[in-house]
Amino acid sequence: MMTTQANTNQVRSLGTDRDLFLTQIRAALGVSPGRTITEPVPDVDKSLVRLCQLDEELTARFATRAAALGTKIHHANMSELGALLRDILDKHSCQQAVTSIANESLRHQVADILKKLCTKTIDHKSDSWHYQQFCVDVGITDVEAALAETGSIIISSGIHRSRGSYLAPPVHIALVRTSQILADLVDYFDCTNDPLDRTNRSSTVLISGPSKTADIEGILITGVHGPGEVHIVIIDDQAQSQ
Amino acid sequence: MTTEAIQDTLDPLHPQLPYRMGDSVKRAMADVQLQQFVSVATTARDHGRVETCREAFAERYDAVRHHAGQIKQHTLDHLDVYIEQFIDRAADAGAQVHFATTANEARTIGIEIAKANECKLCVKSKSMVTEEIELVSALEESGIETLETDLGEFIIQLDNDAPAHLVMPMIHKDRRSVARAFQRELKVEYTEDPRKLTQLARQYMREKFAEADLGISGANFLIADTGSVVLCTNEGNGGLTVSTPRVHIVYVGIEKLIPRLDHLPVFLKLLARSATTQPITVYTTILTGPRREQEIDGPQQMHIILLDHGRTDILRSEAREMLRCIRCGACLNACPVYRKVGGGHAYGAVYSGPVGAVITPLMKGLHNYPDLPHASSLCGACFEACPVHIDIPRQLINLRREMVANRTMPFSERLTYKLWAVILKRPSVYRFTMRIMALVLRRMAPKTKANNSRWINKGRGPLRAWTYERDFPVPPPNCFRDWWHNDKGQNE
Repeated sequence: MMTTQANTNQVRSLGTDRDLFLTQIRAALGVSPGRTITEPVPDVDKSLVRLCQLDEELTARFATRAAALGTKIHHANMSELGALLRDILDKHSCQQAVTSIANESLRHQVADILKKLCTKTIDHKSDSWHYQQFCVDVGITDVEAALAETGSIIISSGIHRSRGSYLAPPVHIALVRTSQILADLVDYFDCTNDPLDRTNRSSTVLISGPSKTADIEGILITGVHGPGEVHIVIIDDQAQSQ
Repeated sequence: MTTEAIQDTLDPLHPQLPYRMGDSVKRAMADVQLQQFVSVATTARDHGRVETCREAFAERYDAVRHHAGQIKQHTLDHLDVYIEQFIDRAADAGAQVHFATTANEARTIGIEIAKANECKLCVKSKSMVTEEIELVSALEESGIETLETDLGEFIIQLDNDAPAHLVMPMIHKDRRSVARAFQRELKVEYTEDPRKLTQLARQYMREKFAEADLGISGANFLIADTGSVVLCTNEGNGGLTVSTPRVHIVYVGIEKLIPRLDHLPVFLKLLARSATTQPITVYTTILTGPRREQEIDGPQQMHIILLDHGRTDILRSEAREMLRCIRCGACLNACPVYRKVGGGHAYGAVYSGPVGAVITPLMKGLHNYPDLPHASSLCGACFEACPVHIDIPRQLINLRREMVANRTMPFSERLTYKLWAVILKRPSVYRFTMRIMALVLRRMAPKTKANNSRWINKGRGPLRAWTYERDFPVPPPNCFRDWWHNDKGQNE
C-alpha cells in the first residue's frame, strides 16, 4: 500500500469526526446511539421484479438480449474456437492481444491458439501494463457469470483477471460457457450465493454491450472509451440432449 | 438570443443569490433551437421510459416503483444504522472513509488526499455531487490538472459551459458548438461529424488516462452490508477512472445507501430504464475496497468521502422522501415546465427540474430560490415517472405552504388570494364578480371586423405574460349558468 500511516492520520483529521457525523444523522432522525432496527427491511419481492424466469431457455435468451445490445454473438465448441478467434482477430486487424482468463484449461487453450496465430500477447502482470493496455488491440477474457435477462457478462478482478483487459482495448472477446448463464439479476445477487466473494475481489463489472454515448445531439455512438466491438463466444459445456 | 448567450452567464448553476428565474426563462423561451433540442430529447426519453418499463414490468410497473421506494424509505428512516454498517464494511475491505459536513470540507479532504499522494493529474467521471461542491475549480486552483472524462462533461468543460440536465449534460448544445470548441482547444481540424468528434475525444483522453495519478468518481449506490460502491455508466470512462490511477476518491451523498447487495437488482432494473430507456447501463461496476495484493491492476488506495451538505436537514424535515432520489432524471424528462424553460440552466442550480425545485430551496434556503416551488403546474407527471415513488407534488405544496406562512410571497399575491377566497365563499358575490370581469375582458379585445371582441391578443396587467404567445378568449355574453337556468332541456 502506498499510504503510510502518517498520511492516513493527516487526511482523516481534516474532515468531520466520525462520531460527530453520526451524531448529526441521529439527531436528524431523532434516535439515540446504538439503536437496532425494529422493523425489518423489505425483502426483495422476486416475483415482482424478476424478468427472466428460471425455466426459460437461458442460452437462447442470453444470445438474443446480448445481440440486441450490439454484441456480436458466436457459438462454438472448443475445437472450433481457434478458427473463430482467427476470423475475429483478422477482421479487426488485431496484432497485440491480452488474455484475462481465470479458468485454467481455457487459459492454456487460448494461449496455444494465439501462439499458432502468431499474435503478440502482452503480459498484463508486467510493470508496463499500465501504459501498454492502451496499445492492445484485443482483450480476450472469460467471465464469472452471464445473465440471460439482460445479455450481460460479469467479470470480477482476480489473480488472472485484469480490469484493463476488457476496458482499454477497442475489441473485447468474452468466452462464456453455457453453464455460467444465470436467468435474472436477482439470481446473481442472491445473498445466499455470496457472488462477490468480497474479501478477495475489489471489482465486479456487469458488461452489457459495447461502450456507448448519445451526448452529441442524442446520436448513438459506440466505442467511446471502452471497447466499441464486443464479441461473445458461447461454448456449450453442458451435456444437452437434442 | 442564442444558446451562446446562456454561456455568457458566469456559472448558471451557481448564480448570485437570491436567484430569480424570470430573465433566464424569458431568454430560453425566445431561443427556438434550445426549445427544440430540449423538447425533442426529453419527450423521446420520457416516452422511451414508459415503453421499456411497460415492456419489462407490464401492469407491475407501479408496484415495482412502490417497492423500490419502500426499500429506500426504510434505509433513510434507519440511516444511522446502515451508514455505520457501511463504514465498517468498507474499512474491512481496505477503503478509507471520510466525513464531510460542508462543501468546503469535502473539497479540502480531496485536495489533501491528492497532495499527500503527490497527485498531479486527475481524471474524473461524471458526478453531480462534485458539481454541487464545485470541486473541479478547487482542484485546479490547488495545481491539480483535472479532466472531465464523460464525453458530455468533457465537451462542457472544454467549452467553459455548464451541464443542463442530470443525465444529458449537453442537451442544449449542438455539434457545431462542439466542433468549434475542439478546433479551438484541441487544435484539431474542424469537423462536425459526431463519430469523428468522439474519436478525437477518445484519443485525447486515453493519453490522459495513462498519465493520471488520481481518479475521482461519484457513486450511484452504496451497499451497507458489503461496504461496496456501485457505479452505473455507459461510456467506459467510469471504469478507466477507477482503475488506471493509483488513488481513487469517491464523492457520494449519504442518501445513496441501500441495505444489502441483494437489493441492488431492484434499482438496477429501474435506473437505466428511467434515465436512458435502456434495460441496464453498459457498465455496472461494483467496487469493494482498493485492489487486493494478488490483483493485477486497480487503485492502490480507495477513499470514500461521505457528504452531508444539507442532507441531514432534509432528513429531519417533512421532505425526507426526497432523499430516495436515485438521480435518474425521469422527472426532468416528464416535466412540461422543464421542457418549456429550456432545461436546467433556468433553475439556477445544480439540481433542476421537479427534484431540484424541492431540494434546491431545502439545501440553499427558500428565500434564495423563491421561484422554484412555483415552477410547476402540479400536473403530477414527475410523480408518475419517479422510479422510487417520491410524491414531488406534495413536497412542492409543502414548500408553497411554508412560503405563505413565512410571508415569502409578495404582498400583491397574498392580497389577490385573500380577495379570491372572499369571492368564492358567496355565490352572489362570485356571480357579480364574474360579470364585471367579463365586461372588462370584452373591453380589452379589439373590436375589429375579424376579431369581433372574441380574442385578446395583447393583454394588460396579469394577462400580459399570458398573451406573449397565445390569445386569451373573451367570455361569451351568456355564461353556462344563465343558459342552464333559461334554456335547460328546451333545445334538446
